[in-house]
Amino acid sequence: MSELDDRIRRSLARQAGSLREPPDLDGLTDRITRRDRRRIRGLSVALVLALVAGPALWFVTGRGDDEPSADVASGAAGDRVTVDDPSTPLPTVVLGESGSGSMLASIESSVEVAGGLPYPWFTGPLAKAFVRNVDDTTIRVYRAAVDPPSAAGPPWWEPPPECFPTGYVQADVSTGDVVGIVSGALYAELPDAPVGGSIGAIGVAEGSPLWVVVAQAPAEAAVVRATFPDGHVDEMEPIDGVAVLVGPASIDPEDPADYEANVPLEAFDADGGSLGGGTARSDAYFLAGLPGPSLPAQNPQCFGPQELPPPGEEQPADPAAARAEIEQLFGVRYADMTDDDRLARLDDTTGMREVYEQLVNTSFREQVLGSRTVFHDLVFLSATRAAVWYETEIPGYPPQAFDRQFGEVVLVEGSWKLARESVCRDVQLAGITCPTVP
Amino acid sequence: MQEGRPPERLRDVRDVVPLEEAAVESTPLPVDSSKPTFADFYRATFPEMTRLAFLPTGSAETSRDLVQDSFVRLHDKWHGVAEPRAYLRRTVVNACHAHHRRLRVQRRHTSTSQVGIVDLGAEEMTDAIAALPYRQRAAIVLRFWHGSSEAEIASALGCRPGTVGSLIHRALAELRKVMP
Repeated sequence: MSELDDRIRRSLARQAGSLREPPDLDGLTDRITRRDRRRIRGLSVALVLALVAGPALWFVTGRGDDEPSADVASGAAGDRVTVDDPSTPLPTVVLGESGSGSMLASIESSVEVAGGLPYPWFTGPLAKAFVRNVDDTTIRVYRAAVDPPSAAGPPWWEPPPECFPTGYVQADVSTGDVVGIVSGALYAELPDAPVGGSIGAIGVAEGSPLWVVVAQAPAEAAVVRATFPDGHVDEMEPIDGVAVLVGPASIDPEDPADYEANVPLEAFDADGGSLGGGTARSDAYFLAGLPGPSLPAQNPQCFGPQELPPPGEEQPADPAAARAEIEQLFGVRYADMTDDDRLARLDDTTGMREVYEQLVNTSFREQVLGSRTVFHDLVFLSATRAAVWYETEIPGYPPQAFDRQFGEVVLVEGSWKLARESVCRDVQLAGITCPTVP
Repeated sequence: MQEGRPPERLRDVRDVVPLEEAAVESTPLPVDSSKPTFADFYRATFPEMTRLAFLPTGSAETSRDLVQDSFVRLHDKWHGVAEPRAYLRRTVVNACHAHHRRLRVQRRHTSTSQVGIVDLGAEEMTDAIAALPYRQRAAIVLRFWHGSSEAEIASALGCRPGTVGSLIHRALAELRKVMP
């Protein structure tokens, strides 16, 4: 052992010995419980990401022809932009057409991706939006509309608009040396800035790295400008509120930190007046190929309240009797009921027999058959409607995994029934989507 | 680590750690008859892992946080992990690396130099080790404090064994420069 080795050992031992951190098993248990809850709440994120991420698989399908079907010159800052026929409706990503199987399965199998984020896949079409040529770079942009998931929180809660994407953008970027894809989500409303977006890098492995920003701009924006880390500025006139901007990058493939960047954005009106700034961010979502300025996992506001709402002014004539009747709707193991039993408990049975048939034909048959709901509490929102807190016990899942479920029951022709919408939220746990009621 | 570590270190640590039996009994953590319970494993390895995290990060608070998160990840895989100690060691080292990357990004985007200041003290060798690039620092900690073999260090750092030799060689060369 050299003297240097010995000095290193002594120094490290001294430092290590100075630390006195006792185990905190209660704290650990709390963390595990919180993680489990987040994971389950992450179901809603999974649904969103299923919608947002999946089109990448079908991007080739979405591309279809190489050339746009209708060209409109719409360039800015010296580049050339050709826009697809704006009258062509965007394909809408519809829940339940994902083909991704169960979201629960996706959550369980993909939790390691992106530091714990679920990462299911969705298959669906994309529509061509526009092609932008700037210098030797060609940017083909594709879009889809996204229906927010209905399982995002209690039925009486309306999520803030920044919580769930309403659109998906995919940019296929190619230069003479590299090709790559960067995607971004669009929101009904950005949370804290008039312009925002996500940033990704392509061409790193090839040694020709390029930053690509997918930006969302306000409708009145005539120009969106991005200032990249090296000072390079790119700008374009947004097409239907979307701009895709590129700039040179300096990225060491061996250093993951280099893949992260926050790029300032600014939007301008037709007169050159600033509409305000924002930031294109890269984050864990981006590293998984999933963009978004304010995805639910990062924003507690997007999970909804975890408690019952205040009672309404009107109450049933006999609240105790109503409560007792409602409690009878819960507590029975799924396998101990027939489909007729289940249908009799619903306020609206439209399409639900088929849903129940599908439920026991998924890979989660055993979990479904062994599941049971347990009533906890309720408040009457009116004389004919109540909000219920219950838990769903599912074999193989920790007790606390589904212990704060919320739904509604309604009074129909003198009998309390489970609201179809609430039941449909639950069956989404097994990857089944109820048909839309006309 | 069990393989290469002097047993006194673990014994010392256990002696100073109060064990809250009530907390152990109330925890819903899983039980596997083929291994120690997760709770027992946690109690036995937590001090060692916090020190493993403390040496490269330099912050007691950060190391506790990273190690708790690492145990949460291990809890997920408890029944499927054959070598939980090795798995945990790698998870902790990875968590420290991720923490280091976050600090680097923060430093790039903040004008002050307050981010990432360590509370290691003013000891010369400590400062010199703290100034090493993260992977070199982690390799030095694993090699000289933890007593890990080259293969174990490679596993923990997610690199080839040959790279470990290179990391340690470069780290020692750097330390020789500043520690005459």
